[in-house]
Amino acid sequence: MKFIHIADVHLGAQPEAGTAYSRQRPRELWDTFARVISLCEQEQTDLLLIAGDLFHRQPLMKELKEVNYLFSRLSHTQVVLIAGNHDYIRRDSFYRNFVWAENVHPLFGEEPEMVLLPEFQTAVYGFSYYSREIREARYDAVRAERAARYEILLAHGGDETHIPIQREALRHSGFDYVALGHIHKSGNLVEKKAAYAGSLEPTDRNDTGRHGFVRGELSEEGTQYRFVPFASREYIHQVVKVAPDMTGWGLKEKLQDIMTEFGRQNIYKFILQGFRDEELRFEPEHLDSFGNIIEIIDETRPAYDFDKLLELNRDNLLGRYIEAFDGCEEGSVEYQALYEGVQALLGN
Amino acid sequence: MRIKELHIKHFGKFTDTRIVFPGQIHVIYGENEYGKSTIYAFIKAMLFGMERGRGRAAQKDEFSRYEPWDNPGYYSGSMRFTSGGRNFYLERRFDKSGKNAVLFCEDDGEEMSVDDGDLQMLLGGMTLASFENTAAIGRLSAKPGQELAAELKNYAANYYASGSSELDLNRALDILQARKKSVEQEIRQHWELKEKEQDKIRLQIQYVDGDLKKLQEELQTADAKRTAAEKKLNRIKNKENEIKETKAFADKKLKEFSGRILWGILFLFIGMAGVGICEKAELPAYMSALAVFLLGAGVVVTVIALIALFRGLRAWIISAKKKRTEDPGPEELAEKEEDYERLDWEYKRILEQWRDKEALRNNLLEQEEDAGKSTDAAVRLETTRKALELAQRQMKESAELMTQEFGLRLNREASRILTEVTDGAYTRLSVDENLEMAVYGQEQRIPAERLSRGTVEQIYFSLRMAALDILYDEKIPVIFDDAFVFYDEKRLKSTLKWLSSLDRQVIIFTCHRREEVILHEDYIAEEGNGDY
Repeated sequence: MKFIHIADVHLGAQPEAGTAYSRQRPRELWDTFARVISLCEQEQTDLLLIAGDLFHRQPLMKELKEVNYLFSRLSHTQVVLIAGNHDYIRRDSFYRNFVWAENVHPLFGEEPEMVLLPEFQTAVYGFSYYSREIREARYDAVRAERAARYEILLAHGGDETHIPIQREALRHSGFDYVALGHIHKSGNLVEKKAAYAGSLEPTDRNDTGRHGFVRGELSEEGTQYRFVPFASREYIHQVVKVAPDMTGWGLKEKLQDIMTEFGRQNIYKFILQGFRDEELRFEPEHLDSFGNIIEIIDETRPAYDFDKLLELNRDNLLGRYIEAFDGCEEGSVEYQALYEGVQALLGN
Repeated sequence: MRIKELHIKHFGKFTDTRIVFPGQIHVIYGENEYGKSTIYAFIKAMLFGMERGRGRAAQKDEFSRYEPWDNPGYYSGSMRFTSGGRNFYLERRFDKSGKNAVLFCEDDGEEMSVDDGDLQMLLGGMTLASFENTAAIGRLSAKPGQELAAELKNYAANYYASGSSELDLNRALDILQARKKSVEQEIRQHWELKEKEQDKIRLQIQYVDGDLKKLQEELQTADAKRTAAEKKLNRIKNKENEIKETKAFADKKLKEFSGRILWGILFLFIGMAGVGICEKAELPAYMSALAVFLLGAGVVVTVIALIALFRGLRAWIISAKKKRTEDPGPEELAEKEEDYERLDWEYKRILEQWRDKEALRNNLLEQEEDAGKSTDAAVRLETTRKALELAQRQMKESAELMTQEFGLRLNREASRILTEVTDGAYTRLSVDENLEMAVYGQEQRIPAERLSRGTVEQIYFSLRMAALDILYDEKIPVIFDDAFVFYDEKRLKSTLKWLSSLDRQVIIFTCHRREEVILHEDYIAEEGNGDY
């Protein structure tokens, strides 16, 4: 039984994507979703698992129709989905009465339910969110009922306010595979048993790293799956070391080089570190050559040698000021105050 | 720094006069009008220059006072001094036309620039005002007052900078304040931007609200239309049913008739035959009774059948008539049915649109709320603001602490000097930042006002010397201009003894012989030999 497991597609979201891409970004979430479905058709995947948060907010009827249309074109693939904390089944949710294509099996109950797919000897279990938050560890008690040869749990959550999940409980739940959603970073929760697909496309400026889906197979040899990068863009947080002799143009070119190397289609946040010329101030607008930089954090410091400064100024205000911050942690408010004060005292 | 030689070319009453200072302590004795103050003024003018005042004030300033009477064009002089083990030659011209200064090192001939601050550097950064408040004690010692208090506060303020002349507390605080303001400005802009974003969403919500209202109206209209069509359809259906029912009734009655009439006729026939036979054959009475009964039954059944026939025929006629006159026909029915379905579909379509818009509205409300939430950038800016506030606070605190330390050190130093000059009569001097002064004698606090003029001057002397010592690493010569008038014999002796123990040059101008005598007794002074 071959499956593709996606999660957190967040259709309808408007992720921040820089001046160049922000406008088209909501469209791209749909496009990538449609690409996954085409891939299912092309590969004649048996099962498409959608582990919640297909939509960023409550789905509109026209959006459900679009999604259902895409599903309905699948000639072979069966689709099983649940609602997550973002598209939870609200009182007036269109999920409640929507009539899906024959190959679509929503597990929209509040309590665990199961859909049996005899043609693949597979049973898929799951339930949906009926509120934004669920604090009970509701997956800990869910067990495979051995209703079919292959048993899959479709689950959403894993943090404190969204169904905390115990690895051990999942390990002993009896499922052959647990398809997880909610955490936007892909990864294993239990080796060879439970994995987060991660969000299909990154939808938040902090969704760094590669995004895509999980492709797997349940067979007599057991459970096998791997992550497949599929997203059209990536958020990249890049630390850039600045040297005291670097100019504004020099930095601009350096950032251009980095973006050309890692791909201009990606969206960047740069963290400037190191020591810069005391006189130099960077202008973020000037540095955004391709319109794909969403933030530049300037953590550069003037190049001070505090030990030496302290030694030379032990008896004056500068020395006393430096001493007052002795032992403060790098990156703390105190650390920042130390730099600001010394810079001011030295007249920059 | 030590002054080795003065050459007064033209200054006040002096012309081409040389004064040599070979040693550590010098007493220049002269009667009134001798020119002591002129020499004192000349030293100051050489070290710090002399600015000519402007306007009416210029009539009485130092420049005018010492401008040579006979030959103003040669208003000038020179000085030799040592500093840091090197010998220097300084020459100045003060006259209006050609004011300039020459400074060079006599050891290696290095030329230096007074304008560029080389001389000030040799003076350890001392200014004329500082000089007059510490090293140079004039004839009339400064009274306890705000001027000196301000000076001392200024010292305290300058004290931060000892070691590095470039530190400036107030400038640093100004820079921090400016930084804070700009960060606060950024924070404001950040939230304004978010507000704008929210406004955009609010505008969208307004549009959606408009659409919703329109859809609501459309929905009502569609509902009314749909209901009307439904009514029409129902009416037609009712008519149809009515006719159908009448027809069914007719059919039923006719069927009843056809079912019963045969039986009626049969009974009638058998009854009549029976009665005929009985009359002829004289059969038993029960037989003729049976025949009569059968005849009777035949009559009843026939009548019932005829009634059914009648009702059936009537109903049939009615239904036929209605069908002809009132039946809308299948075409109209289909048409009305189609009408209704179309309007019902339209109603449902608008309802779905309305619900979709309603869902969109809810989503937009959520989006608006999300847009108002704080971001990483806001948190970072807020942290920077906090850091700047902390920097301001800490810098003030460090400075405050240093002022206090300065005060303590000043008091300690001044107390030590006062102990020596008063020969232990007063061992503790306390000066607060408003220059309220008190001494402690025999564990009793005595405010300065209650002390003799001489003692007060000794307190000032101690304070100035202490301040000079603390504030300037460079050992600037100290110059006294008739400063010991109010000192008694004993205190003067102690003071001179203390002065002669210093490792800095001392120059005393006096119109009394006392100093000279005391110093000669102790063989501690070299007499200044005015070469005039």
